[in-house]
Amino acid sequence: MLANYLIGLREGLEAALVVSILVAYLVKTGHRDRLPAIWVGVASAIVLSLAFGALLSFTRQSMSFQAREAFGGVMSILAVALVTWMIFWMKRTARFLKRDLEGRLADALTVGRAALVTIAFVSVAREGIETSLFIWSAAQASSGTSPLAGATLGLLTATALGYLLYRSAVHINLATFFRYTGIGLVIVAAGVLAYGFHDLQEARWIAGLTHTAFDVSAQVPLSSWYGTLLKGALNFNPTPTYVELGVWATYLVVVMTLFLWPPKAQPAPRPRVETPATA
Amino acid sequence: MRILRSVSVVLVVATLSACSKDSESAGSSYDVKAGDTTCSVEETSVPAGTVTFQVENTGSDVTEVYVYGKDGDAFSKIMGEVENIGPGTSQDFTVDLPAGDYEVACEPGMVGDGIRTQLNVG
Repeated sequence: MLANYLIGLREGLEAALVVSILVAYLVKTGHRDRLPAIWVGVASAIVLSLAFGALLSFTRQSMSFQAREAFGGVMSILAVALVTWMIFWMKRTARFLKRDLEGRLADALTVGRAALVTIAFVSVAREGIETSLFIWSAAQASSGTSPLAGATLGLLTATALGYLLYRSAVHINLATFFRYTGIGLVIVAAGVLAYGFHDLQEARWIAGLTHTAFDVSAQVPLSSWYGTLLKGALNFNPTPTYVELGVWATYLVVVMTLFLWPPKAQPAPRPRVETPATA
Repeated sequence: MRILRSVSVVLVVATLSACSKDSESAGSSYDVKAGDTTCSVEETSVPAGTVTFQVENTGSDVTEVYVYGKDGDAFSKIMGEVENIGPGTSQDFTVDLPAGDYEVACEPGMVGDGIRTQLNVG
């Protein structure tokens, strides 16, 4: 039961965190009207993943190894591209805000509905089929301790953690929110990119699968709560290859630097000259 | 909305094309019982072609099963895999295996080289 709970938690965590950041972003910039776009993306990803998982599971077919890796690899790279875009969108719009402004962000400066649907969809769908296959296998299990209950509780916990993140984001000022979610998303995206490259190494599109950089699996096992959270939120791999480590570090350093680099100084506003009214 | 539709279409086509490829050849099918310290494969000599492994996790930890082919001296070439098998659950995976020697690896905790069993395909 515990192991299935941890799988559910791990599989749901990253998507829950990204979606809750998207929701907090819309609420804090005064655009609750765009929230349905996020729910459309999340719901369609869940429905599609469950449907394909059921199809594969109940008809006892399976995706070929190459197809699975290709799908996972493509979705991971797409997710990284979208999240990176979101990070820099937030950086760009952050400069239009004063530090303590909590008002509504102009429509044109707020992420559009199509982009919101897509980011929410890809964040959930990225691991969607794999998670769905796990859920269906848990549902079909005849074992007494009900793997499905464990898995479901795990997914619910992931959702709850996402909600907690949203609640804590609501109270901080907007500029701080943009800064810290940006930093967090860079770290998440680095993990997804490294994971995508690992998939490509497994599919032998990139060499070096057996060249492991280090092994801390004894210190950070997947069966522990911290191992689960690290893997779930940050795609932490306790036995990364050199390629994975290199990709992770490169993305992190480059994108974090670009994100934290102060924007070009704004020209000083022309002082308003008060002219006395002439009679 | 256009973006969403295109992404969905791509996903549908990709997944369906992967499915239909596997349904053409029936192939042979074998049970694998993956435990915390054991990895028992129903048959260790199987005919070449499309082989399906029905993996049951009989242990208490999450597990994954790989079929490794020879890459030089080591069995490190992944022919097929199934990950994220929770305790008490079963999942299948299918591999195309030409004649040769392989190893089936059960990796409890989804880490390490795993518990390996020789597989002769011919």
